Amino acid sequence: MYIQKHFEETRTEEMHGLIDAHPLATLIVTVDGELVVNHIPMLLERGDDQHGILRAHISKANPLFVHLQRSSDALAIFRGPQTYISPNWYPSKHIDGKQVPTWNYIVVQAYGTPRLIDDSSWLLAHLHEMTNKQEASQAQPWKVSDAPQEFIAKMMTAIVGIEMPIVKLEGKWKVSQNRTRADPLGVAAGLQNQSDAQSQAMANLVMQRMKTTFA
Amino acid sequence: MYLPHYFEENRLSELHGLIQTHPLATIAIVADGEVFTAHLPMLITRDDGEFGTLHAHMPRSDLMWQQFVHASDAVAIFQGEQTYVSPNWYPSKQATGKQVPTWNYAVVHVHGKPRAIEDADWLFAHLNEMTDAQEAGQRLPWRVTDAPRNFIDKLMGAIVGIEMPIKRIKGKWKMNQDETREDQLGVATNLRAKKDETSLILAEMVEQRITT
Repeated sequence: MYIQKHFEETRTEEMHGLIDAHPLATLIVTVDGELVVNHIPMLLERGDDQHGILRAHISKANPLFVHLQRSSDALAIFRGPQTYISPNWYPSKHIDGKQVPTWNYIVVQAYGTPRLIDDSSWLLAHLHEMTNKQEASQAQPWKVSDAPQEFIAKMMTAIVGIEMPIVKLEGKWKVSQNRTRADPLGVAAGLQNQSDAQSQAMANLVMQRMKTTFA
Repeated sequence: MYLPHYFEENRLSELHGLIQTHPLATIAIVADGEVFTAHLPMLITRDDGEFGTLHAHMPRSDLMWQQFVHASDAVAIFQGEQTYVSPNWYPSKQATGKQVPTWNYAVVHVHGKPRAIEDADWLFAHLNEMTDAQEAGQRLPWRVTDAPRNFIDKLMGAIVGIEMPIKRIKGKWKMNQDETREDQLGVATNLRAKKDETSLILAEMVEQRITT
């Protein structure tokens, strides 16, 4: 992915944070020159490895199950908040008119070679972990053990685990940090005036980044 | 993409609608075995070709566009709303306990051959169109002509246009269509209770696909 210097995020903990907060990956592999794309929630284990390990599970009915039997390089893309940015929000626009629209977004691309895991104890541990993480915010967190054991055992025969040690991580934080100080402030204010959660999240990202850029 | 028939969305109007409301595409190409990706807003022209045509632009300094001619495959991925679905939301869980978590989401995958366009008139028309589409929701819509023309010309020198006629388009609306009517209603009710905009949109998408 093309990343201009000022948009590059190199801190592993920031990239890991995005994966945690936005676990639905766009997983891309190539098969005979064609792109095979699936959308799969993935769980990050920071571990001792430099970049961490991604774990997931897929249906055995998913053709990806066959593709991954022939080991293949993969790319998992995690995307955070994203919004259109109007030139109207830049104070500098009102001085010389020299502004154009853009799009702000944050994205992490994780590269590796996924390996299939057909092991029921691995799978059960993985499902517990994934569930507990997602259910943590529920009033009464559901647990895998809430379901009858034989039901879970039957469901598990229809899925297969995936483990992908990350060999390369790319982070792109395109959040108005390529501007003079007044403009990110204007962008944040413009976003705060919109009602949706995505704009509020982006306003926070712009403000955070501005504090580090102009610290 | 793994696409069980009950999750498939075939209606072109729905697919085009998601592209319009979620224009930031993840575009991926494979050229000589190497995958190139970019995240770009794309504009759909619905009536250009059988399934429509996508238009976009990227910085000339992103060398991905030079690989378009070598690409053996290309896909533009558009992502709509998505959410984790707790088994607690299914009434059947209370009865039998036989439920597990899942993820709901709506995505559109567009395949076609992207072409780089280095034509100032094309670019200028495209930028106007894209701007007008995005600014429509603003109180005082900004227009390309609000900026000095020589400034726009200078910026246009740094970008390249992209045209991707849609050859194949697939939609996956994973909205609990594999569950019973009662469980689908349970998901919709729990999403509505969350009250945020995303959850309300998702609730509507689930409700529209309730099995009769």
